[in-house]
Amino acid sequence: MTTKVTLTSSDNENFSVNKEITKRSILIKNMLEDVGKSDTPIPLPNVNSKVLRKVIEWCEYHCMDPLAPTNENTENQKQNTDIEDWDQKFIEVDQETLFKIILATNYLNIKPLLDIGCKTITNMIKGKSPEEIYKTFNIVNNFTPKEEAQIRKENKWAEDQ
Amino acid sequence: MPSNRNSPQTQTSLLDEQDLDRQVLASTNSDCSIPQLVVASTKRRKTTQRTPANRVNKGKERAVTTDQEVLGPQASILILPNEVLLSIIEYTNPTAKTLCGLGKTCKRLNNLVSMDLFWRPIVATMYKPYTICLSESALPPSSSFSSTAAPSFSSSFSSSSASSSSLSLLFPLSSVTAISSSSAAPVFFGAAPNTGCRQFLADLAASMFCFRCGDGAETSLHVGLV
Repeated sequence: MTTKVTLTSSDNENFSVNKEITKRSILIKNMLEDVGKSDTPIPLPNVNSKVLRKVIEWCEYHCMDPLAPTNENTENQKQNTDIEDWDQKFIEVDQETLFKIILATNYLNIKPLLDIGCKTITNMIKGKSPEEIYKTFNIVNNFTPKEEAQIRKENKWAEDQ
Repeated sequence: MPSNRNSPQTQTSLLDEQDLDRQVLASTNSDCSIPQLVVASTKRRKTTQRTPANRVNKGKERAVTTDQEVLGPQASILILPNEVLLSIIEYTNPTAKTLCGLGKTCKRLNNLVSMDLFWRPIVATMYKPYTICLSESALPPSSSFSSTAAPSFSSSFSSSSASSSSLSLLFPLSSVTAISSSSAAPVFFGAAPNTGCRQFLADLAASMFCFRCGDGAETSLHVGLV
């Protein structure tokens, strides 16, 4: 038997999702456990409909995965930034959406998806110079020229490592 | 971390760093609370760092005004909370170079990459277990210099006391016996420093000679290979 849960995005779109699938999100899982039986939609004010649709898509694809990976597993994952093919395709979105997906999964507490997002960004960072990082990630350099000179001086030793 | 920049080698910078790490740990434990990571810098710059309480559950607003330093468009990496940024950096298996490169980009990232969390593994690669040091024969005789705070080793003090004493002044806390081998990084014996790792490496690099290439070394005793 499948129970449905309704999720409401920040822009008031309702999503009717299998209860089992929503349990991928630890936040919602805990919420459902706390509330018990209820038909009230769950408001997700931090997540807009575009992002929520993506997240649900991921959860539906991964609904057969074991719920909580063991600790050793997560340790191994730290070392390796490979992403599964399907996930790789899934995460090929524009940067703004990628950041929003990461924010949403961080909020919803969906660890595996959060890891995928982090790894994606990690792969984008790898092998980039600071200048390229500014550009890629829209970072505003907020050092004063004096501070920047200081930093440059202090970091000099690491440059030719 | 500002104290890194302004007052190198002071005890306070070590303490700050410790604080910083403790707070990061706290932040990884609790899910959505982001402790004030840059306590020291907040005081100094009088910026209005948001407290965890008003950061949480603010909907979209949170993304826009997470931090004073986030002024860029929505697609900036800085909309991500610190704990996410930390795990991103961790995934890169960062080297000193990548960490410093990231730190150059903005203040918030610079604070993050100053965490001992990232530097400990780097410092650890420079250390060997104590026991090897005890057998004198294991030391390459031509390429050893030692500086030590532990009196038991002072017999092995080399004549290049200038560099030795300056080193032991720099690191009075850890009883350091340094032997430069032919490899790029120096090898130390004893316990690796647990806190202030970034500063430790910077101090080491800023000491009388470049430990990597021997640039500035006065005699070949100062480094393993010149």
